[in-house]
Order: sequence, then C-alpha cells, then structure tokens
Amino acid sequence: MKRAQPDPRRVLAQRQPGHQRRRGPQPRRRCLAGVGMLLGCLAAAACREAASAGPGPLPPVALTSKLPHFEELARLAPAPPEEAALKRSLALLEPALLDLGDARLKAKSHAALLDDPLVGPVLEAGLDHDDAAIRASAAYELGKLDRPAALIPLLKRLKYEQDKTVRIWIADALLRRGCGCGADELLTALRDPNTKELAGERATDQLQAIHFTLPERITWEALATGLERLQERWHAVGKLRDDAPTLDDATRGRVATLICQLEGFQLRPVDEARYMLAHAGALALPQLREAIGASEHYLRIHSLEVLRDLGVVARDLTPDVLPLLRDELSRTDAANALAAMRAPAAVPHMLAWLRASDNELRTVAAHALGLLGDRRAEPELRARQQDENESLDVRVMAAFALAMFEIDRPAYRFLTDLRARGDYHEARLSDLIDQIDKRR
Amino acid sequence: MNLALRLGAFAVLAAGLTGVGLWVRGGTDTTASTVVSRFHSAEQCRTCHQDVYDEWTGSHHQIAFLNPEVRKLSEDFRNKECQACHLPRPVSLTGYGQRVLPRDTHPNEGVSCLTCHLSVDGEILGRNSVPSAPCAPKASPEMVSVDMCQSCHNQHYTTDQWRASRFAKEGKDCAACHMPEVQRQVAQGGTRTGRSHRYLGAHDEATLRAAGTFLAELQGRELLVSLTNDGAGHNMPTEERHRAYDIMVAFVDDSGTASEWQRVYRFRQPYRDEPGENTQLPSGETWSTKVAIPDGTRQVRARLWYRLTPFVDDQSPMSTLLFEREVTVP
Repeated sequence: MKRAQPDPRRVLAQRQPGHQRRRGPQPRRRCLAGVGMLLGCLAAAACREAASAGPGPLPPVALTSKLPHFEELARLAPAPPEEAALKRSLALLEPALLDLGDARLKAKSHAALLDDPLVGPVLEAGLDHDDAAIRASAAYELGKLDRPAALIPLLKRLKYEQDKTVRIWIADALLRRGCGCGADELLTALRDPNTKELAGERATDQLQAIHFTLPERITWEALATGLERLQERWHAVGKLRDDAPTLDDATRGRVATLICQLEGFQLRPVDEARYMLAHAGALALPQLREAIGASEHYLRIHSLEVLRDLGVVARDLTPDVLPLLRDELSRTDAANALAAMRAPAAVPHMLAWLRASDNELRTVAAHALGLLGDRRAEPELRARQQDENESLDVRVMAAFALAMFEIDRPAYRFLTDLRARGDYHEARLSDLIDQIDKRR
Repeated sequence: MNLALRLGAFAVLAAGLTGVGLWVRGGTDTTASTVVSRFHSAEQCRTCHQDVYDEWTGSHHQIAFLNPEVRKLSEDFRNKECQACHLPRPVSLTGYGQRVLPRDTHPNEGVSCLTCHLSVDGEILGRNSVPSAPCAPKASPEMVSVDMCQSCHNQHYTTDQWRASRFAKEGKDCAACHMPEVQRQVAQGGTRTGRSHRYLGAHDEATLRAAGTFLAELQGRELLVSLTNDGAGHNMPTEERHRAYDIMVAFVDDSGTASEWQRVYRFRQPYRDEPGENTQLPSGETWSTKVAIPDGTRQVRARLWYRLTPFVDDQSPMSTLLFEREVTVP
C-alpha cells in the first residue's frame, strides 16, 4: 500500500510552539517512543565509539602448553658423543688445525680429523678452545662441513667472541651456512683498518660463491656494496637464497632446544637462546609461531622478543601475534613485535591503546606508532605529547613517533631538550634520538 | 501504530540488535585489560611515604637502571639479560620466586616501590593490611618473603646460598640485614616500626664489616690469616662475578721500611670465560692460610679489602678497606 505523503504545511505547523496534535497527547506511547529514541541514541553512540576506536575485534587468545612439545622436538638434536670417544678425537684438533712446524703431520692429522666420525662434535668443541687460531680454523671447517646444525654453535660463539679475526672466520662460516648475519660482521670488519684485508678476502669469496657480479678490478666499495645487498636481503626476508634448504632434523632439534631454554630461570641462557634465534633469520619462524601460543609465559614472551628482533622478517606471523594484544602478560611484547614487524594491522589497536588508562599501554602504543609510521596517529600523538598532565614516558614516546614521521621538528627538540636537562633516562633518549637520526 | 511509536519500536529493536552484536563481538576494547591499576609510579607513593621515598632515592634499587657501573658492564643494557632485574615489572605478575620481566616505563625508577608492592590484581601489598590508608595495602606474606628477593637475586644464586646457611634455619631473612627496622612517624601521631628502604649491601662499609671476622696472628715464624663468614647469610662475596675480597700483607723490617703489599688470597667467582675456580667463602665457613715471614721482619700488616671490581688497586674508590691487623714479630 502506498503511503500518503506528509503535508508540509502540517509538518511545519506541528513544529510551532504551542501546537497541539489533533489526536491529543498519549503519554504511554510517547514515553515508549522516548525510551526507544534514547536507546537508539545510545546504540548510535556505541557504534560511533566503536567506529572511532577503529580496531576490529581480536580473536580470543587460545594458549596451550607447548613446552612438552618442544622438549620432545629437542630430542632430534644431535646427542652428545660418548665422552671417552670424544676425548680421543679431540686429540686430533691441535695437530690438524695449528701450524706446529710439521706440514706433513698437519696434513695427515687434518685428513684424519675430517674422516673421524666425530668430526662435527670435535670442531664444535674447537669453537670454545682457548687458542684463537683453533677457534678460527674450527669455524672455517664447520662452514665447509655438511652439518647444517653447526649453525647454532657458530652463532653462540659469535655472541661471545672477542677476537676480531676469529669473528671474521665465524662470519665466513655463517655465510657458507646460508646465515646472512655473517654479512653484518664482514661489513663491520671491512670498515676496520686492522681487519680490512681479511674481511675483504672473505667477502670476495662469499660474493663470488653466490655469483654476485663484482667488477674485474675489485674495489673496497664494490665489496661493501655486495655485502650491503646481502645484508638488505637478509634483514628483509631472513634468508640468502630463495631455494634455501628445509631444516634437517638435527637443526630443528637444536632450535627446539633453544626455545626450551627460554623457559629457564637463569637469564644468561635465556639471552643466549634469544640471541641465536634472532640471528638465525627465517629459519626458526615455524617454531616461533608455535611458541608464541604457549601458555608457558616465558616461552611466549621471549619468543615475541625474538620476533621483535627479527623485525620485518617475521611479518608473516602478524595474524599469530595480533591476538596476543588481548593477553595481559604479553600484550606489550606483542605490540613491540608488531611494530618492529611493521605490521599495519596493528595501527588501529595502537590508536585505541593511546586512549587506554594504563600508562604502560599508552607508552608502548606511542612508540609502536612511531615505528609503524601511520600518520593517522598524528593528531592523537600530538595531543599526548603536548599534554603536560600526561606521563613523561608517554610524552617522550609520542615525541619520538612524531619525529619519526619527519614532520615534527618541535617534537625532536622536545627530546633533545629533555636530554640536555637530564629530566629523563639519558641512554633511552639517546637511543630514540639515534633512531630518528638514522630514519632521516 | 503512529510514527512516534514506530520510531520508538525501531529504535528499541536497533538498540537490542546493536547490543547483541557488540556482546557477540566481545567489544572493541583491544586492551582487554582485566586489571588496570591506578598505580604506575613511585611518585604516587611519595605523597604519603616521603620518608620511605627519600630512603629509596639514591639506593641501588632506585638507580638500578641508571647506575654507570651497571650500564658499563651491561654495555648500556645491550646485554638484554640484565634489563629484566634492573627495570622490572612487578614481581607478582610472574610469581614470587619466578623470574621477572622487563618493563618499558619509568626508567629512572629502576626497582621501584611497585616492583615489590603491586599485586597481580593492581592493589598495593604490605606487611600489614591497612584498609583506611589511601592505597589500602593488603597484608602479603609472599611480599615480605625471601621468594620476593629470589626473583632477581637468585640469578647469581644468592638466595640458594642463603637457604643452605644457618640464617635460613634461624629464620633470619634478607630483610633482617638489608632492611633493618626503623621507627617511622605515624600520621595520627606517635611512631611505628618499619623497615629501611636503603637496601644497604656491597656499597655500605658497615654492612660489609658485619659480614665477616678477619684475624691475623703469629704461629711460630708464620702469620696465620683467616676470614670467617659469620655475619652473612650468603657467600662472601656474593652476586656478581666482579665483586672480590682480597687479603693483602706487607712486612716491615727492622729499619721501619715496609714491603710492597702482596695479595695472599682473593675470594671471587671468575667470569665465565675467565680461568680459575670459584673461591667465594660460603656462609658459616672459615678460610685460613699461613704466610711465611721473611727474616728481619719486625712487624706484619694484614688487610682485608672489598673490591667492587677486581681490576682496581687500593687507591681506587671502588676499593674499601674493611680491616687492618698489625702483628709484632718478636
């Protein structure tokens, strides 16, 4: 049935003060209509609030115990050899790797070492030898050996090695093993006049091995450029070759061992594991994906820290990390990881966090938005930074974020002034200012 | 049905549907916080507890994340293992006796009031419940237990050492030495017994002196020197590997000329990559040795030094002379 059009004159008349409707007042119906309107307005306001908050709903956090699974997986790691047998084989280490003045003996010992069934464990033990020359040679041999799991002890040695020459040989071995953090090391060594020659030689070898086009007359600049390319690729995708081989069981076992290590009490082994996992590139991502869903909170949180250190390499794990923004204990670590991964999906959530009552959430959100670089956050960040009643943590991070957008000199000055006045943690301010300077 | 009624009914329906929708979605609050504490900074505690705040200010808990010595050793906290205990989240979050996690805020507050006094529910914990106080603290036996300290201080096995000592059997806990009783003014008048929040330890001469007994005596033509750990409920030294106690001796000849100081023994746990044994002196134990006295010696001097780092000499401000003994040689 077609509805009659309202008479405009009647509508106007109804809006006049004092006008009485023809049918007279009906309080009960009016009351019901009023309540309805009120509820409607509330609903509209709720919708508007939801829309302005922006973030879509996050799935509930489903955490399950994962430690037993990783302990099981860790059994795939190479078992330590029988002590007496290892001791016998270790006797070959010095004559095979050191120049003791007898070239024939060295050659024979070297051949015997490489034929020894325990060559892998012996060379790995050699990485911790007191003599730097043995550590360097052990690293070199491990780089050539068909033992992918050697990557993990090489990374551990890299964490602690002080000798610059040994570091170069470890870097060389890591690159041979497909681990691009060796490029970072070689670049550092290439810039040091004391290690430039050796680093250049190793860089030439490695770049030629991957068919990187070097000029006929190789220059320092060409080597640096080549290593920078490797470095860029490594920090973008976490592997040096598209056809990187899948993990063998021994390496999976060692990665799982590291993940189990994250749950321990002593912080030194935790830090070691975190370092090795974060320097292994994309290799550990499948296991880290599982670990961030662990109900064991250290396992979950330290794995998120590793993802933060891996940055964009871990970006594919964004859908796995996002739900953890709901998890009371690990949400700030999840936010830090998402920011480092440059995950745009995190932006609406961080915008919502900027309005949270929790100081820690606002601080982490402001920092994350600076890394995520989404300028929709600018008005809110500016308001936070300029609000003198806001906590200094939040104001500092909001200023950092604004300065990272490269649009806000006053925000940058806010940070440098704070540092000059000593009003906030100097080291942290310097770190933030360094990040801004690098971005510029 | 007239227009108003229809509009009202529509609005009720829309509101209901929206409500159901929001309920099903679980809301849009991504903070999903079940606990939002109103406490986040030690500054908030200062309002009522100025005296405690003043004690804590400058303590090694407060400067934990600022301390230049720590920053140097941790390479400005690039050694990430250090940050958790030097800028921790409240211990209650991960559990007493469990490892703490690092936080991102209030770096100048290091180990702050909230590290120990904030509960997992966002409430304030204390020795006693005081519902009438503005922060309404609730009594927490865990908060005042050794487990609280263990979360950080067992990283270097100090609370394990304590558990093996007579101090544990006697119920003499960490606070007994490091948070001695003090009298505090009460707002309503009078005083009450509280605990010092200076956390005196390796940087306090009196605390260091109270830890051990140092003796030097003649035994024939030899000097017997000994150190007894009778005052510490943990090793001497404990905690970090760069702490050391040194026993030094010098000989004075007939002409009054003193020899160079010679180190007789060092009590210390070496760094992980450093050769050598752990020579820390466990609680309740005595270490002694005999030192041969050169001919022509008229007097022997023996000293016990405490070093904040082993790489300094006696003149360094990082060295504290704890005891000096002089023995005349007949």
